[in-house]
Amino acid sequence: MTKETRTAIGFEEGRSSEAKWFNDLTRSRFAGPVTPHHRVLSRSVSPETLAVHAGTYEDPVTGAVGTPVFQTSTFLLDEASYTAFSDGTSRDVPIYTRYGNPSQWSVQEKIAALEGSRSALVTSSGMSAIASTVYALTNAGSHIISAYDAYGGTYNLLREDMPSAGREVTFVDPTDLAAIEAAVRPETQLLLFETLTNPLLKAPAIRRIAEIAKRANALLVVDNTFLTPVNMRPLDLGADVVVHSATKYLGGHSDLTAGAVVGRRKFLDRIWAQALRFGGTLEPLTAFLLERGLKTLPLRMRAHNENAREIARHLAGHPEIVAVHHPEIGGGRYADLESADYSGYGGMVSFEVRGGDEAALSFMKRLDIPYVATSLGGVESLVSMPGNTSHSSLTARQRTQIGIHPGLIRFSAGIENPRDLIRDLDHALGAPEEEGRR
Amino acid sequence: MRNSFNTAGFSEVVHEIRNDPAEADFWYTAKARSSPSRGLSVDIGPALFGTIKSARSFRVEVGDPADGPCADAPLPLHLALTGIASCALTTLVGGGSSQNVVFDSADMELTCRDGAYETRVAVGGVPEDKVVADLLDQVEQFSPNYRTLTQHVPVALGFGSRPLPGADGAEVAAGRTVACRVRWISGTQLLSRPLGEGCGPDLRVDAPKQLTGVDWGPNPQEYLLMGLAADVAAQLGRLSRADGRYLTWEVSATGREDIGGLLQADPAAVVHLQDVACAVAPPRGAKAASESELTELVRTAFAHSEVRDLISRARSAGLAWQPQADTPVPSQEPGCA
Ligand SMILES: Cc1ncc(COP(=O)(O)O)c(C=O)c1O
Repeated sequence: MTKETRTAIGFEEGRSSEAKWFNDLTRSRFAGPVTPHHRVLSRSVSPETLAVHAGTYEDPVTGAVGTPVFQTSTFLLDEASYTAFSDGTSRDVPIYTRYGNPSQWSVQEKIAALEGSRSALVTSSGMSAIASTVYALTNAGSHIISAYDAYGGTYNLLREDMPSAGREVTFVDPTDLAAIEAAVRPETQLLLFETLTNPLLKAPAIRRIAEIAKRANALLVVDNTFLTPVNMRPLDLGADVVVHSATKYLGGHSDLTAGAVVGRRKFLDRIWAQALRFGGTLEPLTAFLLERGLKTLPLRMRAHNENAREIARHLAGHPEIVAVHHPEIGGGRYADLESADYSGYGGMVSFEVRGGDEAALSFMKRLDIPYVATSLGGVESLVSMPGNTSHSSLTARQRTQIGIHPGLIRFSAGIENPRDLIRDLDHALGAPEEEGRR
Repeated sequence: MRNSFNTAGFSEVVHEIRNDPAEADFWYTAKARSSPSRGLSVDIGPALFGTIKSARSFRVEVGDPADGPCADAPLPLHLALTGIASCALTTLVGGGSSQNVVFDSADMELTCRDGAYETRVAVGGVPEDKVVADLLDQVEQFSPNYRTLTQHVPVALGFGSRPLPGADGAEVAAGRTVACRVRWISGTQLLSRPLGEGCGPDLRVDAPKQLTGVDWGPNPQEYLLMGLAADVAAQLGRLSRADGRYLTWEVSATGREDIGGLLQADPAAVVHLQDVACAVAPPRGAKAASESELTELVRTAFAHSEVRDLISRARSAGLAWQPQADTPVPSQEPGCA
């Protein structure tokens, strides 16, 4: 194989030996990294087609129709590798898998295409994606604004690690635009919000928050784990960078741990450098699993969206249910929802059962189909209580302030038949005498 | 990376600003405070690189020029000299890296002798003297801070919300010698030693991480503006003390660099700093003084600032360089990189 096909498209154009000053240098930022063997499709192609085809490594030797698993930790050094070292362009040549690997490049290209962007990075977990992004895009001395009810891992990173890293964080209600605006300081560098929050499914106005960030010359990072690019593309709404726990819907089968970051290379190259120093590499084999899972993302999301909606609607009228949290059920929290920005609301629905935590625990035991487990976004339905899992470190008072009341259950609707899921829910809600089946 | 300098990163900026000239405007801020009880100090504010903010936190305790040559801290002029010499050396090493020149060392001594400036540059490890000579010509033309020293750069003055135009014409000769020796370490990192007894510790210089640095210290433009803000604040403190008023003064200095000038991405771009402005906040505890008295004091302080004069007055300087044969390679001091 020649070096031209080993390196990223754009790498060769950036090699300049005749320069006399900076203006003679020829490297500009480009998309990718992808080699000429990676399938690059126009971002105007529909998500279903992008999900199947974007990024596939079309192996020139065997003609395999799927991306081979490049299960190697290192690559032969050649002149391109040495140039990459001396110019600082080692993201564009496979040198060492912690730096980059064609298996990662395939899945990165697929995720970038789905989010409507030019570049992406995959990492070993959602948290490694978030930590690398936050560290790379802020300086010691800067200020960050995020949500007090952000995903627990994100909240802990911001609350426990930022003070010693010299970053200050203000936590606000992500739906309170006035509070976000009021939190802005001259040194505010990053706003970090989620497209849909856990577990109450608050829907922050990403477009409005992007405007606040722009006015402050700050960057908006959006965690799109709960909605996925099928339901919302935050970059189109003004976000600068999107992060994912690919462990959830992107992988989709509860069989891998991975993260992703999407955006312009101006940011992604720096996040990549941070991630490789932190060591948050995605293994080639996991990259393969993630790529395979992503091929069905739009199909799965359609089922997740529908199932959660059906369940939410059904529970909203149920006498044993005190409250249902889902954008399609409406209520005051969703009064200003810009529904045109969403194609769907994902597979999550949260609800409070009558009788508090004890009733909720026995209700979960009576469920037959879903597994009682934390996490979400897999093909199988999962159910858990935020009060004794993701939000257990909060005080009872803090939980009440956020709106996590006793009896709250988080339901991650899988892609099973919704009639089966609803029948199962009804059964569990209506039959206290059958306690102890699971 | 050659010389640990990220040439690819700079190349990307060249192409970015050709596509989007608004990204070429780099803004820097420094804020100085002169307090009768807490002395003189200066902080940097957030910098803006096109649309990208870089909010780092650096503070330098500064010696008051009125207290004598040095009081265990650098003088405002040391900060400005650090800014100029470190910019020249970064330009030298960066420009050299773009043409594959490898450096062992690069040092520059910059001296202000009674308002006149002298330079001495030493470059180690480059076999061909012509290469160094050509690079230094480019530094004289394209180093933003060096050009700010040699060109006429207007400095605006404001007091409270009022502009005080035309205050930057006075020539200043403080009648003493202040000097720094700046040493390039790696990439965009440099170390500046204020010369003279008790002038405080070495000053770290670096580019922010948004511009290929590692946030090891303020960048050269920030040092120059820190020098300006601190000097004007020091003059304000001195003049008000002389009037028997013990006031706390806050001065912020801002300036814009068109990065297209350094990089020559746009041959028409102005290289030196532009829109340089000094804003003095009305002092606290100034009840006794009338508005016009304070305004006069602000004008006088500004006129007496040697750093303001350094920036605003054009002067013919040249980078003095000794070819390698005559230059002992400077010794590396441990523990700095
Ligand atoms: C919204 C959100 N972001 C980030 C994460 C962290 O992802 P990971 O567990 O893959 O590190 C999670 C995990 O639950 C999440 O729900």
